[in-house]
Amino acid sequence: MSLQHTTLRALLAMAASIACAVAQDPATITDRRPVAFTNARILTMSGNTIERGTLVVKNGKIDALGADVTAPAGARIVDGTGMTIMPGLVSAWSRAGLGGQAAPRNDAGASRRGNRGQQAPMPMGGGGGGAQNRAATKVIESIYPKQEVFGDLLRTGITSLALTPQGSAFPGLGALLRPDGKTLEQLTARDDAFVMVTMAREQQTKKLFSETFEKAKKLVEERKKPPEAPKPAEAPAGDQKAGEAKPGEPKPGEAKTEPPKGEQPPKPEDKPKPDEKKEGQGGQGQGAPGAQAPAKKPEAPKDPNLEVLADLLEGKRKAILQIDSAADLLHWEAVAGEVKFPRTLVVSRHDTMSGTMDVVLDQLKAMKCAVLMQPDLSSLPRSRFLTHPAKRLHDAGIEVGFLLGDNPNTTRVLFFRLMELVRSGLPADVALRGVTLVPAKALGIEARTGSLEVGKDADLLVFRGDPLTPTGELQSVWLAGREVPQQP
Amino acid sequence: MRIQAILALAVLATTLVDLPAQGRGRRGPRPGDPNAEAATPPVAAPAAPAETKPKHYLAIVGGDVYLGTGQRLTGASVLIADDKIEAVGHNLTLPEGTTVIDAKGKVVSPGFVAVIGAGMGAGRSAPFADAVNPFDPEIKQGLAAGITSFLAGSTGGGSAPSGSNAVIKLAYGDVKAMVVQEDSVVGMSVPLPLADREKFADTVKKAREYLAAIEEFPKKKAADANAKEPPMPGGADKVVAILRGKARLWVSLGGGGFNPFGGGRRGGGGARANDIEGIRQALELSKLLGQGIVLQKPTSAWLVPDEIAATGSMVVLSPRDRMPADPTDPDHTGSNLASAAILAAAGVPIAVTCPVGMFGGAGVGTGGILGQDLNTPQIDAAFAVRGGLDNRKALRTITLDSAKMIGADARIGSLEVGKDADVLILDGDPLHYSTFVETAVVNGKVVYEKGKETLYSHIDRHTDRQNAR
Amino acid sequence: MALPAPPRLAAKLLLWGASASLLAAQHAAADQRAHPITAHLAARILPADAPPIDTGVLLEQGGKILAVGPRSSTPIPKDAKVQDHGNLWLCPGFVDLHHHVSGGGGDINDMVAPLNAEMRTLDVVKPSEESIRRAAAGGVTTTLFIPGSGTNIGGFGVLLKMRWGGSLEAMVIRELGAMKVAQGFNPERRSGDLGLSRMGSSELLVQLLERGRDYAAAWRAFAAGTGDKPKFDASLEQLRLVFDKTVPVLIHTAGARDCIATARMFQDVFDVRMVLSHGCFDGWVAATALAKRQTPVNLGPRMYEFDKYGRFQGTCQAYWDAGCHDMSINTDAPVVAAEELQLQAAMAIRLGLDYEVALRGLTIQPAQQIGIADRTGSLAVGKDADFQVTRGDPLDPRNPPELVYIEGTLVHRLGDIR
Repeated sequence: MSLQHTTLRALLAMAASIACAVAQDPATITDRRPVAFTNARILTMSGNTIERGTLVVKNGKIDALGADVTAPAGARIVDGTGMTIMPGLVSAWSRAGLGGQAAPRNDAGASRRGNRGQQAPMPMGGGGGGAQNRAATKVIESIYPKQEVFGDLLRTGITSLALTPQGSAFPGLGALLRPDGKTLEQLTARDDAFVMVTMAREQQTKKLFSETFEKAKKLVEERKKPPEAPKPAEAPAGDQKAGEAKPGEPKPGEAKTEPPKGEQPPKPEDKPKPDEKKEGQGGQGQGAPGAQAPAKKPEAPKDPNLEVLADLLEGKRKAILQIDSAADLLHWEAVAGEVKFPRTLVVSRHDTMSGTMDVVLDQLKAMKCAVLMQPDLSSLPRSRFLTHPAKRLHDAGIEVGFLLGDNPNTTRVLFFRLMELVRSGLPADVALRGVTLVPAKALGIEARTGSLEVGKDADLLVFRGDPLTPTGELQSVWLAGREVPQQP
Repeated sequence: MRIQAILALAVLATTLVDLPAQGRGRRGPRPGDPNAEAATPPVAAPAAPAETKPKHYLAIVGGDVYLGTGQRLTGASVLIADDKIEAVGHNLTLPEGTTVIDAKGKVVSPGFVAVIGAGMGAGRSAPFADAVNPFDPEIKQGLAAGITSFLAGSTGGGSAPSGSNAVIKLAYGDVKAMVVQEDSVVGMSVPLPLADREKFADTVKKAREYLAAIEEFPKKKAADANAKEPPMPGGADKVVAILRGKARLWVSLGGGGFNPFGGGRRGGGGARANDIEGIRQALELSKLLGQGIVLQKPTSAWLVPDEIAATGSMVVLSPRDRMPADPTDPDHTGSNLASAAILAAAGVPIAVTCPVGMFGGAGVGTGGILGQDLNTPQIDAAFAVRGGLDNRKALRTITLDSAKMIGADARIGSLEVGKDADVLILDGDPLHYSTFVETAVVNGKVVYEKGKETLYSHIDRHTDRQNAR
Repeated sequence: MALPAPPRLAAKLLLWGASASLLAAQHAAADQRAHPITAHLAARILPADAPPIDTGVLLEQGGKILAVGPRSSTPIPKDAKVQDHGNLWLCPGFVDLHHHVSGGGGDINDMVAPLNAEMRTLDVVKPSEESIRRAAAGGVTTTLFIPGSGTNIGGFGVLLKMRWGGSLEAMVIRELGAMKVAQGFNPERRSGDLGLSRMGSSELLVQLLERGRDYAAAWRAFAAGTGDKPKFDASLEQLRLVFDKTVPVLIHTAGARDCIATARMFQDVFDVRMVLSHGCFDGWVAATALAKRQTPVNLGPRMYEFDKYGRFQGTCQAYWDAGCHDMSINTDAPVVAAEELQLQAAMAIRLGLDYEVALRGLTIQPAQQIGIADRTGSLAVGKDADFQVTRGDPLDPRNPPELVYIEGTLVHRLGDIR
């Protein structure tokens, strides 16, 4: 507590001092001068660490970086001696500002509390019951934009923030936020960043999965049919429309972030952008659309939820697949193990009562995807014998990333939690990639952020000292080349 | 201790679920199973016709093997091929590549079968196959107690056949192997009002007619392509399942609540159906069905062992349930510690279960009371011995005869060729209070080793030979 | 002799003889004249306070043990009646200090006031109660029948021999066997008065104990001629015996915090004879502190707790390892059935406790803790001939007592009760 306060005070002081040098009010940030951080240690995440180098920011992007880079003429120089620069944090999964925590706290705490009166674990994920296909529902639609939490998270280092719909099975489409936004449109970087898929170990959810994936597969097959093929009855008309309307026209709207990268083997290389992403009400900016394309001829009603899932199966979308325990993973394997789609696995807690993920390494490997989990150690069931799921996954060759939590208080202690993981054997670079590049890939934004490379957004965290030492101190956060004021 | 604590623990203990389930059979080794992959192809595998996958052999060698049938082989071996028992006996020839576990000086026994169980990964919502938790730490606790299978769910009750349950196997880490079969037990309770008895008789009649019609159907279909399959008579599905041999009828004889301060009675005083008349009424149902039923905790059964034996019925009981005789009622003769022995002598198969007590429970409780729940199934069998049952036969009450009660004896309950390889290696007499499970094998896989799990690894077996029985 | 209702008379009687009631003494004397010596021959005798004797003999006369030893060195008088038990074993009747079921039902928690030091279970014993007979059938020959733990002081328990179906007089060893105190969990009243919390109930308890201590001291001073005659207070008469140390306190307590608080209050502050009963949950964590005080512990009905590493931590073993060696084992009947006392010991052994220690925990140890070791608890010369004959290890549930004797009289034969 006192540590946090001290850190905070230091941060504020720092911010104040830097504020003298750097224009702070967004309105006045018309300073187009490049910024050059010199003599800094640069943790690129994607390549080698540059022990002493220069990083140049220009037009919101990283213009150059390296040991031999010299600051361009006219650049504002920030002396980075003793500083470490790393990419901004990417939170791929949170309920920030939505009410209700996405991430139950690590239940290792429960087993440490004492052994008596242990409660049976709560049902996982959405808890079943309400399992339904709402895959096209956009979580962004339930957000109230004027909340301090986004800015607060940004100031703790989260430069890319995803919001997650909640519920079992297919609760909807997740959103990607620009956490410095003040209005909904400013906030919304993407309103359909990923399809949320939430596993729960109960009949309704499992049944819904098998039935829905079956329908979605069928739809994919139908989409493959040549649009011309006239068929009897009225149904084909709709299908045909679907076929031509869908993949055909890239939205003129605005250049979205890059199309999802094809890191998943089964995914076909597809050029067309999912036009669905422009759907959703509530604004004309980034996420603004008129539902389902304006003025279509009356046609057989399409199930937008199914359309989203067909996109997913075709590899046009990515999913975040939440499976909270080893037991649930085996149930998933049984019900949908054969269904292939681009995915990142989210494990929202270490569930010792239904198996932490490190007990099903073989099955996890077979899923061929990255796993995001709580940045904590776990324990054996009903025991204080500590275990290190993240390390075990990493050692097994699985890409590991971490969940950053819903509120600034959680994020403020993130680096302490990472330190514990590192002290217990996880390589430091894995820990840091796990909060930057790995979640960036989960959101399909790794071409823009998540690592320090020329041409990427200048989303930076500047530390005095090393972020993974207790004395390392976050000094400033830069979002797309602008320093984030440390006071709202 | 006081009632708050009692209630709290009672709640913990009562986690039975009452929901339908759907069947899912066992399966062979999983693709990607490290054990299966590591197996080297046996050179002299006995009779492997066109097997594509080499079998994985595991042998437990040199132990005193209790078959579960009442027999014992000294210094014998059990050979397991994949998930089944391949051979049991002396001087077995082991195929090349067999993994050998030395059991010299140990006791080898079938995994214990609990006829009434809860928890242990069975899940709380139906269907069981969709909810099982193969990593529930209670599975390890159950295995440490020797349990490899148990009946989870509700065994029904009431005036018409009902219930929703599953035989759960403690196949740690294997979702698909955990449910052996679902709804193999159907329950009713007595006393039944006359109207309900007549209704049941009518249902049995309709069920028989239906089965006869089904049998006729192929012929009818051949004659008339438009013939429709006879419809299942309303409300008869459970009875049909019984008549088809897919389910066993359990008849509950009332049993009452246990008053903690009611003078140490257990098993429910005043449960009127528990007298001879109640048992006879249950046996009437057996006669209607033309097959044996399972009497659930029939306190007075020891008075009419031959009547029960004559119907081919079986009995689930806890030797420790106590119901004092009612001196004012000559029919109300109370419980008998010797019940198991008396019934067994008449040829009635017996399964024992834990007592109905404040802290007794159908699960591997964590309430701290030991010897009253499924943490020690051997203790319940030991109490049957206390009442006079032969020590060796008593093992059947928690193995083969238990498996019969839940209709799973074709697969589990004894170490016989072709059955599931659910085997325990024990460090002594199976029914001794100090005996621990050293190794538990389920479906041919080692799923519990005392030395490697936290539960009991720190305890050495009490080896006071002087005081051994 | 009628059982005295006025507390004053009861107190007087108890002051006469702390351990042996007048009644029992009279009985014993009569038996001695009427009965010859009986020699019980057994394949093995477990005296409990001495090493096992193979091919042994126990001589009984008038309800008392005349001799016990190997047949080779123990002469059997010519006129003795010989009872040859063949291959069977012989061991002392068990003693259960935490037993609630000799009253034929509940009715042992007076929930009106939090402190009931003037109450006693003597008045609610039901000699025809079935569970008395069952206890005897399980080899239990002596119990302390105590009030429940619904209130801080539940009243005084009575020490009984499990002689079923006869007179109360024939059962009672000591009318005020022990004062029952309940600390922690159960007696917190959760009502709107003092005693709502553990702090409050402790405070109420201390206030009463202080009064009792002062009252007893005043009477002692008067008896010694150093003080005035105190004003008679019926409500403190029973409590007075606790402070005269003629009657111990049996304290229901569990959990490390309450175990320590209990020992501090009753041993350090009030210095009375106490037995800590239950000691469950994480009570064993406090066992080292109890060992320093040599607190007598009476453990059960819970026999284990999961430790912080998820292991079965045997409660008895944990106390033993911490140095609490004055240890007895209970059933808390009906929590565990009274006749399953041997199973409690068996479970303690399963979880690591030494066999001899467990056997002592059912016999000599509880007898010493409650102050009747001169009467029962082991097979030693001069003690009551309370013993059982079993097919083998008396702690194995497969071996029911074939015969059970109380004071030389056969009270149970296998098959007598179903």
